[in-house]
Amino acid sequence: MLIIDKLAYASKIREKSPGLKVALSMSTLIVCISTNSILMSILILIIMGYLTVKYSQVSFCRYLKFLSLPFTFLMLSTVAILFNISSEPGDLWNMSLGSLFLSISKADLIHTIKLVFVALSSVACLYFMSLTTPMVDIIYVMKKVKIPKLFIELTLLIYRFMFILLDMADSIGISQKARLGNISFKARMKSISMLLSVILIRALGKANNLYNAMESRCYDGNIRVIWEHKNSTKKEKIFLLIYIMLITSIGILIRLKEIV
Amino acid sequence: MNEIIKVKNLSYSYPDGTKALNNISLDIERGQRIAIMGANGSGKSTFFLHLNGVIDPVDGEVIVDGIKVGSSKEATIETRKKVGIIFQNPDDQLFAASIRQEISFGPLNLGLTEEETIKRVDASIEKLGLKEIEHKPTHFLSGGQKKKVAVADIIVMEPEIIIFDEPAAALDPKHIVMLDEIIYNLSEEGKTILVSTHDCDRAVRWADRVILFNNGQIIGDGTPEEIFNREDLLKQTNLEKPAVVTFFDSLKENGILKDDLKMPRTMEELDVYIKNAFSDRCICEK
Repeated sequence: MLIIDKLAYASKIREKSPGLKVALSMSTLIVCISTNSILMSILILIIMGYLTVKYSQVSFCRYLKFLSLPFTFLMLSTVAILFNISSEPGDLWNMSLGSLFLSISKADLIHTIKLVFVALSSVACLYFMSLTTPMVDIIYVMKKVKIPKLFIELTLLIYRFMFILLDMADSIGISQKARLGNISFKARMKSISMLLSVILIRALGKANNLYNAMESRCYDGNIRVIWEHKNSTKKEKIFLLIYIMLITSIGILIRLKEIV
Repeated sequence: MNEIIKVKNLSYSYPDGTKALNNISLDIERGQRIAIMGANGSGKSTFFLHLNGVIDPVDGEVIVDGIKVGSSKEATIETRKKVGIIFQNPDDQLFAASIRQEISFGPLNLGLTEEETIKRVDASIEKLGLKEIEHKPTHFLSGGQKKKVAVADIIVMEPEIIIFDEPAAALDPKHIVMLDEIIYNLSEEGKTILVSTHDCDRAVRWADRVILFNNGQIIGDGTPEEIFNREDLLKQTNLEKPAVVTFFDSLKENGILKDDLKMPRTMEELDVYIKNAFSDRCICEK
């Protein structure tokens, strides 16, 4: 989480229009999900992987490591979809459990592989966005596309406070360790529970202090701040448009030809 | 009649009944540099929150530049325009992840236009030397940098009275000196400055008035010369006499310096006294 944040600020296209980056990633994401095909997903993985490695500060190896995180999670969760328990044997693999069969059918296998690829390439789209666009810029795009003010203000505050609370948790954790708070399993459990409760209490205190500080700067319930951002150039816009048209037509083609 | 703040019989109790302020009365003149000193929990911060109406005065009254704080919604807004508080912990004050957005919050609340706000944000970034870090996110900043942004937050609103609540807390010596400079410059611009601090050595340098708080009451109020020679009062508030004053007193006691000299504010001033004393002696001996 925090590494991604740091990388986003260090990205080579940090200064480019955030709208452009978000649009690129979101349009690809939509095409990816609506096409729902392995071929398309692989194509998108390649495009997004290339763009991310080229424009963010992430090396290819590190990018694979980032992808392996959701990949492991996906593998574990798709096991349930892959296996089937029924009275009919499947057409690929079977194990009898008394009168029932634990089986894998061909359709299930394809479905599972498709799911893994679509999910993975969707993550790649989001990685491109979050590794090149800092949160502040994403919030700006949220504002531009007229997401309700409440959500934007909440995002703004949550994003800032996440770091404050994490810092707090970190220093409390260190001070617990310094007093042997993690010497045994029992002690560790106790330390964690105390840490969580103290963070809740402090978060409430922090919220109160922040409110006072904002009040003293004439806060009236609306958070007003300036939004300054680079606009995209004409060339970039045209490039994005061509890209979206291209990828959408490939998607439509794949759907029409019914390629998996 | 140049009083900018008038406090009359102000008292305040926390919801649990603890008395935070007990019958405080004082007048503050325009352009003063005031050190508010006292042990932790002596009511300094609570007092500050009263001055710009974050806490409405219930018992007693606070008048800022002719406006009675808390008398109406408009009065509260007016007071907040006039009085800016820089809070002790910048993390309690900075809410935006972008520095420029953070600084723009105040002026936009004052109803300024976007262009005017950007102009002022640029000016205060320039003034505090934040140009290099203006595009960094808040959570990447060091403690000293956060403090500077917190100061920029307030001066961008151009208040007449600026309150620093323990500004030196958790700062390294370099940043403390920098902050002293900022306070000095603001004072030169004619702002009224209130600073709560425990650091007598620094306070004696810049303050032209020292107010001692103890258990929600004012137990001392006067020039640094008056206050820093009252050892009884200092003891009561857990403060120590400034080193320069202790040294000066010792030199006087031992007959090296004359009794009628004015209390020095800095080591440099004391140094001049000592040099003069020795050159006088040399002349006598010759």
